[in-house]
Amino acid sequence: MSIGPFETLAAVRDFLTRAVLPAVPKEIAGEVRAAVKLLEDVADELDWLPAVLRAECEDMLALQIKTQGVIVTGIDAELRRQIVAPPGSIREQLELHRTMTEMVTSVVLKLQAGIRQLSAESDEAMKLRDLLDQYYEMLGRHARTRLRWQSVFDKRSAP
Amino acid sequence: MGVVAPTATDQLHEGLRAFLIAQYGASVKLSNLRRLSGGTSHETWAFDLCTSAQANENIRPLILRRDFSDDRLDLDLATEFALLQRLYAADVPVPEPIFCVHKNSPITTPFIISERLSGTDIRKQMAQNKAGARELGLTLTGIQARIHGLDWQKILGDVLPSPLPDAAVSEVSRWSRIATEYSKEPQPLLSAAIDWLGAHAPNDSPCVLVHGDFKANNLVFDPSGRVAVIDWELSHLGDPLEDLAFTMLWTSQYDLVGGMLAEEDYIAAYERASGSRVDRERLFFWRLFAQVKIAAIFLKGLSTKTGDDFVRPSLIMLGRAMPWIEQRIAQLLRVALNERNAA
Repeated sequence: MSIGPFETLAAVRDFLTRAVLPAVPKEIAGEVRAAVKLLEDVADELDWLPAVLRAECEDMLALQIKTQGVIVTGIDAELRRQIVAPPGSIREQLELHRTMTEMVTSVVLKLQAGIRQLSAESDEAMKLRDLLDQYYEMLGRHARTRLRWQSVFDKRSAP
Repeated sequence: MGVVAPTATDQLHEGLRAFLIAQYGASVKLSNLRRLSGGTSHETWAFDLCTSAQANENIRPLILRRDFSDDRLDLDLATEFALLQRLYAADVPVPEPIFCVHKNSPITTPFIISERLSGTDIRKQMAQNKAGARELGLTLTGIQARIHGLDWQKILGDVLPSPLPDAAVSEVSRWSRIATEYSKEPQPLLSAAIDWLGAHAPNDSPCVLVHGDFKANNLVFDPSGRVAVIDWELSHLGDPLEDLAFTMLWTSQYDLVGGMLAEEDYIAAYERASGSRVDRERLFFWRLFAQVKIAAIFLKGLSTKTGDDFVRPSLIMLGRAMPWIEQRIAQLLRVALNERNAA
C-alpha cells in the first residue's frame, strides 16, 4: 500500500493547515480550523470504532438477555449470531449497532414507564429500578468512551 | 426570509454601506468589517462606523447580526430588537440597539445593528486573567438575579409571547420536538430524558424574563468595568431556575460556574441576590432539561445549511459533542432513580 488511511488524513490536515488556512478570508479561517480538528477526531474514531462497536453491541446484548422475561420478550437469534460473528465492515457494524440501540431505547422507555406505574417500594419496582440503573450506567459508560472523539468539551468525563 | 453566502464580505460591505449612507449621509465610512464567531442560525459581524467627514472622528464600534438560516430556534430579529430596546430604556445592561431591518434588507437577509462594547467577553477575559474572579462571579450572578426580578409586564409589555399556564410542559414539548426531529440516530439517553421530563414537569413555577443563554461568553466586560448581557435570542418568559440550569451547563475554569464560583456558591449567591430560595427539586428538573435543550441545538446545527448549501464544520463539531451530553444525562437519570426514586 502506498499510503495508509491515517497518513492520508494527516496529509490532508497538513495541506489544509499550511496551504489553505493562510489563504482564506478571516471569516472562513475558523471553519477551516474546525475542519482540521474534525479530521483529527475522526481519524482517532476510525482507529477505535470497530472495537468500540463490538464491545457496545456485546454489552447491549448481555443486558437485553438479563432483561428477558421482564420487559424483553425474546432476542432475535440472527441478531445474536451477528453480534458474536467475526465483524464485517464498519458500515455493517454501525447498522447492527443501530439496531441494538433502537432495541435498548425501547427497553429503557418501557422500564421507565413500568416503574412509574408501580408502588415505589414494591419488589417489582425495585427489580425494574435495578435493571434501569444498569442500562443508564452502561449507556453513560458508552458515551464516556466516545468523549475523546469530540473537541467541544473536555475529553475526559464531566464532573 | 433568505439565506446568505457566508463568504460574501464584499457584498455585505457594499449593502451595509448603502444602508448606512441612507441613514447618515454620504460622508459615512465603514471599516474593519469582519465576521466574529457565530451561532447555529446567525452570523455576527463587527465593524467601525465613522459618520463624520473627518477621519478618526466619531468612530463608533458596532455589531451586525444577521440570519444565515431561515429556520430559527429562537426569537425573530424584530422581536429581539424590540426586547433590547425595552431593556436598554429600563437601564438593564444590554448594548444599545440601533437599527433593525427585517423586510427588504439591503444585505439580502434580516439584520440588527447594535453597539459594540470595546472590551472582550468575560470567558476570554477569564482565560487571560483570573484575578478577582469570585467578585466578578458575584456581580454576574447579581445581574442575572436583577433580570429575573424585572417587572416584565411593565417593562416589556407584549413584546414577548405571553407565558402559557403550563410553561414548563410547553418548553419541554418544544425542545423535545426539535431534539427528536433532528436526531438521525436512535438516542436512548436523550429519549429517556425527554420521557422523564414529560412525567415530572413542575406546574408551580414563577414566571420571569429568562435570558436563556446566560453564560460567560454572552457577557461582555469593557475596560471601564461595565458589563453588558448580549445574545438575547433564546430569551422568553419562564422559570428563573431554567436560566440557572442553563448557566450551570458550562463549567470550565473560564465559566461563571466552575470558574468564578463553585456550584453551591453560585446557587447561594443567586439566593442572596434574588432574595428567593432555589428549589433544588425544580432546579434538578431544569438541569436535565438543559441537557435536552443543548442537545436539540447541537443536533439541529447538523442540519443547518448555509447559503452555499453545506453544513459548517463548526456546527458539525457541536453535533459530535453529543456523548458529553449523553453521559451527563446518564448521571442525572441515575441520581433521579437512586436518590429520588423517580423514573
